Amino acid sequence: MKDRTISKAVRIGSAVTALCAAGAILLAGTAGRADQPDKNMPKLRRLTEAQYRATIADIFGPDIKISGRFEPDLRVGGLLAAGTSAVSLTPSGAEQYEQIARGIAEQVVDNAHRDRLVGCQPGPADPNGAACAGSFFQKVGLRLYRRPLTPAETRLAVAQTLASARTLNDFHAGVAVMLTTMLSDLPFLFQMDRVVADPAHHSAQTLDAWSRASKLSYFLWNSTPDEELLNAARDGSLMTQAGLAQQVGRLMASPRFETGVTAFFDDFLQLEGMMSLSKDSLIYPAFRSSAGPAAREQTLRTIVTLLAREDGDYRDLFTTRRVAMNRQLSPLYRIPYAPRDWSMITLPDNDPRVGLLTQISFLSLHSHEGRSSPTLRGKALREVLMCEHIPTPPANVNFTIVQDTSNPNLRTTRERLKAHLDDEECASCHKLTDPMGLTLDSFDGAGQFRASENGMAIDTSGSLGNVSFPDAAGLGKALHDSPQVTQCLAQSAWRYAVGREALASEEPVTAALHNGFAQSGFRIRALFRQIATDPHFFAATSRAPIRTMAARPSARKSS
Amino acid sequence: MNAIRREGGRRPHTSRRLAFISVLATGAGLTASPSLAAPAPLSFALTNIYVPSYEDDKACRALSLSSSDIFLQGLPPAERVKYEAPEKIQALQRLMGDRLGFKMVPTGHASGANGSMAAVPEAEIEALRQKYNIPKGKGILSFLGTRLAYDSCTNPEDFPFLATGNEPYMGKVAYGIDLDGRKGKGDFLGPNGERGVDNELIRATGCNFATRDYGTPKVADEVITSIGSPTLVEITDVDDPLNDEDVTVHVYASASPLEVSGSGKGLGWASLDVDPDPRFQTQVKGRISNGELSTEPFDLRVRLREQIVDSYREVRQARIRATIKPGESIEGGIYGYHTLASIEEGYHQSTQVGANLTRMSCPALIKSIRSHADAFPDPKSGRNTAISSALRFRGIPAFLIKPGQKVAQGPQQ
Repeated sequence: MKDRTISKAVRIGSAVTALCAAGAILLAGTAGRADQPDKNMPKLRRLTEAQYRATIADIFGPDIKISGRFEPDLRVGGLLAAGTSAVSLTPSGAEQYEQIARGIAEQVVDNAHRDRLVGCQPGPADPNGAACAGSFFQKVGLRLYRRPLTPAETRLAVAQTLASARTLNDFHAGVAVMLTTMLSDLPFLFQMDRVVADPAHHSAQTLDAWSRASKLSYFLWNSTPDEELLNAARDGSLMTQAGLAQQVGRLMASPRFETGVTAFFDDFLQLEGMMSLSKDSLIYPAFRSSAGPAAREQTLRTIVTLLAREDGDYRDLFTTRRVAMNRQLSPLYRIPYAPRDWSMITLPDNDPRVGLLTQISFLSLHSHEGRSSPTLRGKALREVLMCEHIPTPPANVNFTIVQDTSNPNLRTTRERLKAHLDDEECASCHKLTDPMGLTLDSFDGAGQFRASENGMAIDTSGSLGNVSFPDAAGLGKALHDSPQVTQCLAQSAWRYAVGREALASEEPVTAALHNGFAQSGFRIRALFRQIATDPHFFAATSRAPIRTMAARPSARKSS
Repeated sequence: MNAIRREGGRRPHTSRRLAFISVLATGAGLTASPSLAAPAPLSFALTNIYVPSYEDDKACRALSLSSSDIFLQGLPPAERVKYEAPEKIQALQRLMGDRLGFKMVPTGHASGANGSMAAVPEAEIEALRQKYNIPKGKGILSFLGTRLAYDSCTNPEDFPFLATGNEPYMGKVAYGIDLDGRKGKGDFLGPNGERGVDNELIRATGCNFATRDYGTPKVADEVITSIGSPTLVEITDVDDPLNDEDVTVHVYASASPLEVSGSGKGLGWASLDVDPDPRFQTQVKGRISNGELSTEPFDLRVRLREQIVDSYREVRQARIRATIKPGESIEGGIYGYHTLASIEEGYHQSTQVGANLTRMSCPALIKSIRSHADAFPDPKSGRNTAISSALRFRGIPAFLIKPGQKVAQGPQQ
């Protein structure tokens, strides 16, 4: 059958797909039975767009194109990952996922891919293709649902394939219809935590092996489990601490661990905002449309190199002069750069840039379109790096003074902010943000260095709590030495891994994580390994009230 | 500059871009940069370089005729009426191409790297001539080697009847300097009243449409030229960037395209590769006085690579006069004698397509330039091979990456 016909058939088959929705829900509802789960409802986490794309590439190959609009992710407590368990599937979202799924299924069964990806077809020994469909969906179902299909699910998949094939008069079109259904289905779109009795602790519960495999893989690789991890789930070794440690070690030894670290820091630093970041081209002509994505990549490459590849100290991110560079960004840094591609460079000792906070990504993301913002930068430092919460300003605040960058009497941002702070109500929050943010005001809204503003030298002195510093390097050192910064990272990594806000009952867990993190010399590898092998990572989630670190009164004291 | 260690608006309209060919042939929005601890390097990428035309409404009796104007005049009256309306210009140009046997055929090659001319073997070119009935030995590679063209620009000698209608420039003022040290009666005055200005290229071609319309600094300063390979200027041996009696000025072609900012102007502080081709590398001694750079006379080639053209301009006995603002800009001129060969090379590559877009007649302009050539006589024929002129330029700060250099500054980590 020609590809065009399949495309048409799958479109026709959408009606059949709709019928299959009932089956899909059935599949979801029966998902846990094979593993004898607890009677509790399974916990669900929707795949992020990046995870969805990586999963499809892993299962079907990177040449399968994924086109369509994904449901927007939700940031909870500063993390998109924590929002994955708080989002559902809207009717329009389900429709979008089905369209995306249909595009994938059409490609899987087209002439270019079917031999490699389907691998069989009806023949004399299998006249209607039932054996072929059964074999295909058992194989693909394992990868898509991240657990084996039950016999009932396999029978349903084969029956649905054959029914669609008869209706459409084409076997591969039938496969595409069923594959579309599975790709639109909850067990694929959502990670599911299925619980079983904990073999190590009587009367306790833990996640089953298949759920463990998913959690590990999406945490450490940001993608679906590979064959070896699924095998470890199948043979039960993932349910033992030794088997778990062995698989964690394998996953972290893979180059794909860098993808996992990248995904975490992308989320933690909220860098997805760089993809749509724009600046006033008349004020910042050097900040081209390509600058935002390049700056995002710069930060992530720097972090992965220093923390994942070289196993460096997380705190050194705030004091290092090493940074990934390319020719798109070097003009913004005003440095010569010879290579045609990315590489790590070390900035000169007298360069005003030191550490993560002086990279274009942080500076430009937390600024306005046409001017810098010490307040936004300070707020981001508090909220992102220190896990604090800064209240949003009241709706009736008059920002005129700070917005007027041409006021001849208030030539620097510091002067304008000082005038703005005559209002006591405003001052209470600005005291938390501005002393740090003003230290970075020698970098404009696009992240470019400037020694002066409107002819006035910029005063970059600032403070964090009781620590005062003269410049950005001092701020980096203060953050490097702040326990709250490493506590925030450990707690965020935990929330990222479990995909939800931290529970009150988990405070000992996150405290232990931070202790281990500190003992390792604040190595991200050690932190991730500790999380991935911690029994609490696989514990059945209780429904205790949620309380995050951000809500703790002590969180403010260090500032 | 301290060591950096390495590990491991508006886009100009097509016709305006093309006009630079004829502007050359005939005639940055960077905000003030903060200074880091180390002094900024005195290296620049020239974003605008062109033969400037002085704005003088009375300098031309009329605009020079284009090739299609001349062709129209030669048509029988009945046919002329059919094509003389302005909106019939494209039909007229098609008719001219058909009647005169112009050709533009694909070579089957893609352009070279960074908008350079593709290398097409002569045997393939000859085969194309035979296949498309192009006269033996005629036609040139054009459109960066993607086409073989034969027309009044590639081979003006075959279309002598189009070598008419050029208007002489009759203005008294032109950009330039006194190149020959003589204050002759026929010399121009400079825009600021300087006497003895030598600029015969403007006299020869200053009434061409493109020169009048696009060649004034008011317009040309806003149009990036040679975006595919900007000219790079580096000043070394500098003790004081504002006053130094003995500096060395290097002129290169860039092997990288000019980077463009978000506002459509040249992007300052980009790292640009110096082209290793020795024909586009030269240096000369100079001096800086109160920020004004001046050089000794020297010969240089300026590469012109943009859109459909990969050409050059050869300037003999060139002198640079420019105002330098370290870390901000360079602005000035290159004054000297442009070789006829390099001027005509530009016309050839523009093809009839460029001539139509910029309303010029290649045969007429080439004839005029040859007749006004005023320097470097050929020893055998006695005919002058170069013509006095001026190039105006503007530039922005750039980091120059030399061939084989791992990092522009400092050792590799």
